[in-house]
Amino acid sequence: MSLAQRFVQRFASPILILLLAVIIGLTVFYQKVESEQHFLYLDLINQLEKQDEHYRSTLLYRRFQMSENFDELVKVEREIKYLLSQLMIHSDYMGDEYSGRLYRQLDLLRVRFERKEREVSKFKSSRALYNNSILYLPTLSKQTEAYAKFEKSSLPYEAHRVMEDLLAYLMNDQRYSSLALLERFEALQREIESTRGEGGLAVQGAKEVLRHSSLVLNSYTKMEQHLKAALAVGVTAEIDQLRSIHQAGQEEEEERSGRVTQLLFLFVLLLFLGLVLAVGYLRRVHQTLQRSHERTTQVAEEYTTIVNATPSGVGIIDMEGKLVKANPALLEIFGYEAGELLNQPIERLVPERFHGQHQQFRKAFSNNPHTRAMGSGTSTVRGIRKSGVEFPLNIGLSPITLDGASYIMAGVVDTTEFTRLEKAKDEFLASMSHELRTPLATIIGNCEVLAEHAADSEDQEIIYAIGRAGRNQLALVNDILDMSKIEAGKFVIEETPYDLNVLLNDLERMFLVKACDQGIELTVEQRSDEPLQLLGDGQRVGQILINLLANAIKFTEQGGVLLKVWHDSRYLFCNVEDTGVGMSPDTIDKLFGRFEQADGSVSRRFGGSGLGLYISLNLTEMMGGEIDVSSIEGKGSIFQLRIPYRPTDIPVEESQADGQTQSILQQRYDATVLIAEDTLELQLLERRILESMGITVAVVENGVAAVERASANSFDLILMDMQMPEMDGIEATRVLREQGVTTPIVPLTANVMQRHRDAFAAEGCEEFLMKPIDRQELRRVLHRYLVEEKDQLKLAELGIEDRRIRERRSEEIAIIDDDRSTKKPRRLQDKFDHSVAPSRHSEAEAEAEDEVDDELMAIFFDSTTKNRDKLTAALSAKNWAEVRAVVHTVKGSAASFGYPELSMQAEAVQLSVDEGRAEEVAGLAMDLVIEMGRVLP
Amino acid sequence: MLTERQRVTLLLLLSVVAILAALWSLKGPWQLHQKERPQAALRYFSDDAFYQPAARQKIESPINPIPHLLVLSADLQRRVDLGRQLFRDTRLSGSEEVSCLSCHVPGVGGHDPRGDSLGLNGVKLGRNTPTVLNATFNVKLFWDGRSPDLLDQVSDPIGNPNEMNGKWPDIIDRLRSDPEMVKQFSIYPQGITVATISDAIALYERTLVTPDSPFDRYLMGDNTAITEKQKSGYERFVKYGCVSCHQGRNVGGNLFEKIGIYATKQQLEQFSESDLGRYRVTGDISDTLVFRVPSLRNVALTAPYFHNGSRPTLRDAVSSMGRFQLGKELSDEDVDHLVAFLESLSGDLEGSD
Repeated sequence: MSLAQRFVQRFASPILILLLAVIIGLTVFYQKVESEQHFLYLDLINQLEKQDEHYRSTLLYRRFQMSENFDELVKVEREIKYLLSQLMIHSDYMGDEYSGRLYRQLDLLRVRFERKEREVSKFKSSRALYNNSILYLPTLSKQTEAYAKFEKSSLPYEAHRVMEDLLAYLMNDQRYSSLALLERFEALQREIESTRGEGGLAVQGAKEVLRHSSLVLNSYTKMEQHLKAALAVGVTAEIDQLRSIHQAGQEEEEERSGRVTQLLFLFVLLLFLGLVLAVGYLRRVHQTLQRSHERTTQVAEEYTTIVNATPSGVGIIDMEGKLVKANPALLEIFGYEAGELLNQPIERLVPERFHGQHQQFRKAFSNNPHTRAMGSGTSTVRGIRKSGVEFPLNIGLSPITLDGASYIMAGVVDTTEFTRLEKAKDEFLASMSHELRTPLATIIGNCEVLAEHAADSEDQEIIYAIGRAGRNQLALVNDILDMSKIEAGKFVIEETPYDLNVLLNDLERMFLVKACDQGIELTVEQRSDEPLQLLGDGQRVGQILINLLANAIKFTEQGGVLLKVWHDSRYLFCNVEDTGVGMSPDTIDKLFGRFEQADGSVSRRFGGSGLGLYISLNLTEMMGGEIDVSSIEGKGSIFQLRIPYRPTDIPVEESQADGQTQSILQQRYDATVLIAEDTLELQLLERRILESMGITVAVVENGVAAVERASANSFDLILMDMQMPEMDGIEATRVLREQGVTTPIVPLTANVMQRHRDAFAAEGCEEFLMKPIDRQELRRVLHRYLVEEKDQLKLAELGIEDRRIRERRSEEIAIIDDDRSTKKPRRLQDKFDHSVAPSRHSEAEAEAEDEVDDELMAIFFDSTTKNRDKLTAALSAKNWAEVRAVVHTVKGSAASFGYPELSMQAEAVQLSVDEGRAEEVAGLAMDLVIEMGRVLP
Repeated sequence: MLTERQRVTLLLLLSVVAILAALWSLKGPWQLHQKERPQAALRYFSDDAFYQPAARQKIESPINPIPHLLVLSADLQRRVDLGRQLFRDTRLSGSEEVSCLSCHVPGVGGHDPRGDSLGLNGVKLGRNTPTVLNATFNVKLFWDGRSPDLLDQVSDPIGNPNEMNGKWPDIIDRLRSDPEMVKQFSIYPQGITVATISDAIALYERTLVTPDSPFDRYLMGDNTAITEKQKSGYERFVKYGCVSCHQGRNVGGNLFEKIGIYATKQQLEQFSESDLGRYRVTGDISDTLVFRVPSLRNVALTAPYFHNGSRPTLRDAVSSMGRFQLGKELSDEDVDHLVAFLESLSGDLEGSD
């Protein structure tokens, strides 16, 4: 359309004018030609008529004049012939119908004229003869007179009289007729015949007279006859007819041309209108387009300005990983000029050691594009500046479509400063807590010392007051530090055994004096006296209860405060009930907000930071519990703390005063588990972890063996690797299920693709474990299959009480020795510091690492060495199947032994083999070999 | 509704349709224009373009003087020149050996002195070649008047197998292959065609007139132009009735007449089938033995005489005429005087070349 548009825009006006000119010119020409033709034709007809008239008059009036000759007749005839031919020629201009009629009429005229001419021709011949003879008659007459004088015969007289009569007849004497003359001729003839023999000259003369006379009469008669015939040939009427045909034709022609003119006018008008409309319309369209173009440009400029002004880096990356667009901020962050970076692989901005990994992620993103942050969890994404300096950054990714092609948009924020500030803040808080606590510890400690040495009770009171204030201050500082930790997400809930009874006794002791001081009653109510050994963060539970009790006592002026503790199978309940001031529903709503107290007046009256309940609620939630409040104003309040009830039989260690992290508790299971795993070091690792939980472990190397063992022996659980030689995990699972083996099977595999999950799910596997092994996850799964489901089965079958089973099992409890600080490999620690990999839950990983002792690491290194050799051999043999097999092994073991990066590279190789990108495989595999070498000690 | 593209396309389409319709409506005048061209091109020149208007005759007579040629218009002159060239062009004949000039020699009388002309292969044509001089004033062409005018007449001798035996397509091809001819014919928009060739020749023939004969000068008032004997011959010419047929500018040539009006049966029987004359044209039995009355202009120069060239001398011809046409035996004196008069009809041959 744009082409047509431009064409019309540029040429519409000239074309319009040209067209108009042509049409008007042709119309005028047509009209003129037509009218000229009409006049010409009419003129020709008039001339013809005139010539005919001339012809007629020439014949009529000049026939006897001697001085006249036939030239005039010839001339007229020629003229008429010419006019007829001209008329013929010009008849063409009429429409076919009238041309035809004109032709026919002209043809008729031509025939008439020819007939006329023929008669005229005969007339001319007769007249010439007549003329010739009549000239001779007087001579002849004299001669006969002379004869008559010599001869006595009456013959000459007779002859003379006949001649006289003839002349009289020729002079139009009405007494004579041609018939009578002929009779006289015959009589003369008879007389001549009767006088034969005598009077030679007389007879001779009479004969001559008779001969000439009859010739004269004959030619005269013929002359008159042909003249009459010639004049009788009607031409005038035919000419009139011709004229009227022409007239009619002309009228119709005029009518038609009038119509044509009208039509032409209409067409021109339509054309004009059409073109004017078209031009107008196109102009409007053009204007609109131009305006919208301007607007678009403006908007584009605005957006460009905005994007250019954005302090974050914005870059567009195409599907091949090339940086297509970059805003100035992005260039500034990385310290490049636009020319150096555009159309360059984005990997230039990534430290070299992450290149392979980055490519993998890019691929993963293009396979499943959605807006998300690059990297995940706690790991930091790192970039490299032109100067070679690495720095942390945050990257947000969005899939975008420009001009129909897919791109990735990356928003980049340089977090160097932020990280630094964060670190500074952390350091500040740490140092602050130290700086705040140290003087307080000094104050409080010295107060106690001083109180012992105090001279009198009055001094003691003063010193205690100072000590109390110090303690309050310390609590406040602790609260603030806790809060900032909570908000930074750095608060860690410990998992250690603690004795709730001890805790409750401590609390009672702590608040009894205070309650007495205030004149209210404090009661701690417990359902049983049995020791309540629980797993969890006892210190924090204490903190929460302290908070609640302190509040209760603070707001209770008379009556009492009751701490009631009980539990069911799932939860531990602690109620703090008071008979204090109570709260309105509005106040309850605001109760757990930060820095909130029931109301401002309370703060003035009772003091406190207002952080206590906020911290308590957060801690409770972190433990997986809740705090419920119900209150009646003026009557009192009930705060109910509910946390998961997790009893334990492990004795509580006494030496936990310094707040150090407690050892991990292992629950022990009485069960047999089959492990199907082909990688040796993982076999060892898994066996060890499971055996440490008291589980009897059987190990098989492939799917076939797994099927054999599982169908021969009865296991409580099967952990099934996905990829194994001979028969893979999915196949093995299906075979087992077909054989009717109902043992729960849990896939434990490095393949985390959804389709693998789906494949297992289709075989009835509800759970799914990923390598590297997440200890918590493993424990949860083990607990589900080895405890909960089993117990429920037994309960249902035997009705045996839950508790007894647990008691029986608790006989086998053992504590796993733990000394993680000494056993963690140094190198492993380094690697994790700057890993971009989406690491698993750090705690779980730490646990996994804990298990990696020297012996295992030695096995791992040994197998890695072997794998490296195998990989090198396979590569040089171009045995891609072998490469894939080795790489798969490396992928699993490296992840499990704390080398996620190595695992990632192995996965990249595997992926490129799977996708048949042979050219990439070699390069990636060589990288992997190098990396493997680097891992080895 | 329609999209923008569709609307623009529709508008353009409508415009195109309107233009086509407008052009279609102009088809009529255009066709008329086309139709008219080929016929209108042969320009008609009336006698007024060739000859001076007739001045008033001093002596009244059925005979009128031959008009003088005008200085021709440039356009006409070019055509006439072309005609003169074609008249002499042997390419108009089948054998490319004969031209019009072979039988019509304007400089000596426009006729064929051989009388009964020899045709292409020496075949006797059976006709006394009529002179081309002053032929334009004749009523029709040929002895039997089978051709209405000079233009029509041209093709007859060219196409006659015994005369020039020319084939028009060949002639036109030959002329068209001659660049000089093509150039000369450029005066005709149609170029080289049968019509234009005939036209040029006919126009040339119209210039072949012989004015200023002694008798014409006498008619115009020059009393000394002819001798007394010639005057007496003229008187006899009138008195005996010769002038009845031989009148007008051409002293004849403007009517048809039966030959042998006073001939006896025996004499008439001597005529052969080729003497049927005008009967062969009209099919009218009364036209038997009817021929065009020949012009007597330059008659002294155009022996032999009669349609079949049967009278070698003028005296023979005159006395035969008296006997057969007037029914009168002319005396030797009459014949002398008449011949003397006829000699005064020879005009100026200089211009007729």
